[in-house]
Amino acid sequence: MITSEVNRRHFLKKMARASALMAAASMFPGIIFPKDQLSELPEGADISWKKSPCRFCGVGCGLLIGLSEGKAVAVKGDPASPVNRGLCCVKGYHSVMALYAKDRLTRPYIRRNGQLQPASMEEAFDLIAEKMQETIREHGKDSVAIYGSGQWTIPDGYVASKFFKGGIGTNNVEANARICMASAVTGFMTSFGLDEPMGCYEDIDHADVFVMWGNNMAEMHPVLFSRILDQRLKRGVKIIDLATRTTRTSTAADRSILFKPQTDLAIANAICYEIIKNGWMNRRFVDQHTVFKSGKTNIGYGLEDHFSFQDEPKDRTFADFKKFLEDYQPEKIEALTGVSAKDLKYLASLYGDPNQKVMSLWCMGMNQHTRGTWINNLVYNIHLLTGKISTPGNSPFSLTGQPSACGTVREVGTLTHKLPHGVVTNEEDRRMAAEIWNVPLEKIPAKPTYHTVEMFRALDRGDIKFLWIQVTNPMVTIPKLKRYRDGAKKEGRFIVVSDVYPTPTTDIADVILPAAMWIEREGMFGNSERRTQHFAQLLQPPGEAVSDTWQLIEVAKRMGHGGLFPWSKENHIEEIWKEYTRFHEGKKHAMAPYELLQERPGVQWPFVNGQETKWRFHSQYDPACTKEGYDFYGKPEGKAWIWMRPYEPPAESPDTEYPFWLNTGRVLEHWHTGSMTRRIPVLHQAVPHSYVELHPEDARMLNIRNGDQVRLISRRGEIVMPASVNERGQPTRGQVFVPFFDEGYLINELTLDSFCPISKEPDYKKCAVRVERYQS
Amino acid sequence: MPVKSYLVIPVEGRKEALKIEIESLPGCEVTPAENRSLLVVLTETEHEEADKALFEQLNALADLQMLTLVSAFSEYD
Repeated sequence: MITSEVNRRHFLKKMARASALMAAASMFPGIIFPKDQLSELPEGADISWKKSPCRFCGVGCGLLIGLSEGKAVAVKGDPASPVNRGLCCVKGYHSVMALYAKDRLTRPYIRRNGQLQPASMEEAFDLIAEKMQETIREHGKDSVAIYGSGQWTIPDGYVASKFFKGGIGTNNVEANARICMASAVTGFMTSFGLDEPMGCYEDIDHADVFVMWGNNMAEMHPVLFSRILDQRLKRGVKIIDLATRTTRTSTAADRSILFKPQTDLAIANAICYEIIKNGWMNRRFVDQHTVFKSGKTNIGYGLEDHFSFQDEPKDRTFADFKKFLEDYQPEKIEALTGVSAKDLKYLASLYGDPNQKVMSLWCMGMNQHTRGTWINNLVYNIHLLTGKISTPGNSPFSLTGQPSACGTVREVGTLTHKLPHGVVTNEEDRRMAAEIWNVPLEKIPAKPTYHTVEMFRALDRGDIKFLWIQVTNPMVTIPKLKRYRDGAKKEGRFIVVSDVYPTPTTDIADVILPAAMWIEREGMFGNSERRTQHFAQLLQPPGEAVSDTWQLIEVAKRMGHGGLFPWSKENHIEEIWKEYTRFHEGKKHAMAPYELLQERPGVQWPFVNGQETKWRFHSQYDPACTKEGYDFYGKPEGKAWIWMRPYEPPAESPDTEYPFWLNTGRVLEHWHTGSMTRRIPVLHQAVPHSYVELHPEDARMLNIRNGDQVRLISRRGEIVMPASVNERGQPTRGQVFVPFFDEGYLINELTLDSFCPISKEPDYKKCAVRVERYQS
Repeated sequence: MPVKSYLVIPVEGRKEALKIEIESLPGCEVTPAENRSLLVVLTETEHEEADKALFEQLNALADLQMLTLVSAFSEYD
């Protein structure tokens, strides 16, 4: 029995060994151990293993959670999951430990006389409902808002959208996926007319070349990267790391090509130039399946409040496109990009070789970009020019960062302009929502309100008075943080925060609600490859904690919107799924039935006639196609759009006063702001605090050694933190990198709130700072 | 009662010798990689002080080039 100390320790040892084996596999690609330690199971252990998707990143690994006596005691990769095939990364292996840290929020708190004091859930729900009603009465419907997350389950997001858009009648719904995936969405929408990748992870088994566009996959998507490394061992595939910083991915790659920040736009255009110049273009594909477009240029950076932008696509010809590319001849952009013409031509030759299947992969590097939509378009251009798309191994693939950025935010549509199907500006889409929700059409406003940055600006200005934050930690993650933290703390603002641990965001709350986490409630996540994964409630939540879904329903009932949620605690997830999937009926997006999701380790949509769709837009694989071969049915003409998008500089670049680029990001061991992973001793000990990476030459010039205290100063703020020189990663000269997981070092005090005018996603990868050795 | 795992890189050519040395220490289990000069070491001790002492013993081994902690458990509930 697991209750015996012997078996308990046996499990701890197994987990410790498994972690080390995984770390070894990550650090030394292709490493082999004499036996598969991961498959060993302790004999006679009284453990039941239940499936769940991992709580952390957007890969969506299938896990088996070991349960004993009402506790999660072990984790292993689910061999039945086509995502990870039994593999697991260091975060996944330790994920259940995030449930059990000592300072878990187990009861609600209400701020009284400036102090957070314990309260009952009933009191908290009553107060939230009362405050929302009072705020709406005094300041109108658009003075209340909800800010959620790509870590919301699908039911959480669905109920939030229905409550706010269909119940209250405001489009003040946003989620943190705006700040991580919005450019991917607008990239898909502008190039193909439909969101989410046409391919899937199975492309990894077919591609010959993998190009990582600013994507440190070895740390951010380690299990998928392991699958690529496995293909290199088996088939000798090529891995090209195209980045602004040397990382573990660069070290493992066959070729590392470094470029200057923002110039990926020019690089992508140069690749297209070379493809056309060398006759590598798939002319037949281009003629039959694409059209050429241009949009507005010099489109701004969104730095001012109330910034608005609307692109105006214009028809163009292939001749226009070819002429446009003249500015991007490799020799002309060497100085701009820092990439030699020879390397640019090499990249083009990989894409241009008709015998090589190519997979492009990206995540935050391309999305958190003031021209994020454009760079997404430009990488699609390369695949469209060569016809390398929508077939196994030919795949432009936008990876997601969060477990349900796709499933909840993009598919349910928890953004101001979105509905579960379509957008609020489209009357047909509003009509569908009104019918399914059984609310009057007029209830759902036709005009979007605030995207994420503008929502926090509105809170600062006082246009929003009430904000409910669920499953995210914006007081660590919002760029130009000081303005928005000060704004949230202003008199007359009321902030509700639902979370599992205390964070800098709960610090500013007027009410804190303890949330049931992950497998303490039932839910679904949707991962990067259109795979929906169900998890059952496996554990009791601690204390008075309740799921985010049910918190919303409780408050909605108190505000008179109970009719929208006529379900019991026992059946509400199943009923929500049944209602939600009505939005996606049809061959383009049909979802699997609830019962099937319970059985399988995930099901990919479109799920049509009992079959999952692995590749979209090709009749061989996609039942929604209405013609033979390719059918880009997301666009009215059935053709994909090739965009003329130029290079434009970022909002802020280094100068004499602030001579370094600041790039921010993540590390393997920590999930986002670290509120869960920093409470897991193993992960915390591995990377106990944040740091600033410097290039060794820059460090030498500034007389900074590894571990020295360094002051970073931007136009918005400053921070003192330890230097990291010649350790995990190495930025190029003139650039520093800081991970954002550590609330003790709020790097977003320094970042800039510029964003892509089309997607409204901020650029966390580029602003200007000064670097000094700090002497106290 | 700490349980820890480490990645250990031996001095060149001393992988087997280091494996034997570590296995002779009480509370240590070694899993050598087949195709790389790397050992995975699992330690199990009775209390924090013993764990610290064992760590120092490991670090003092002449054939050991690098010792990296990967995982550490005591009580997690």
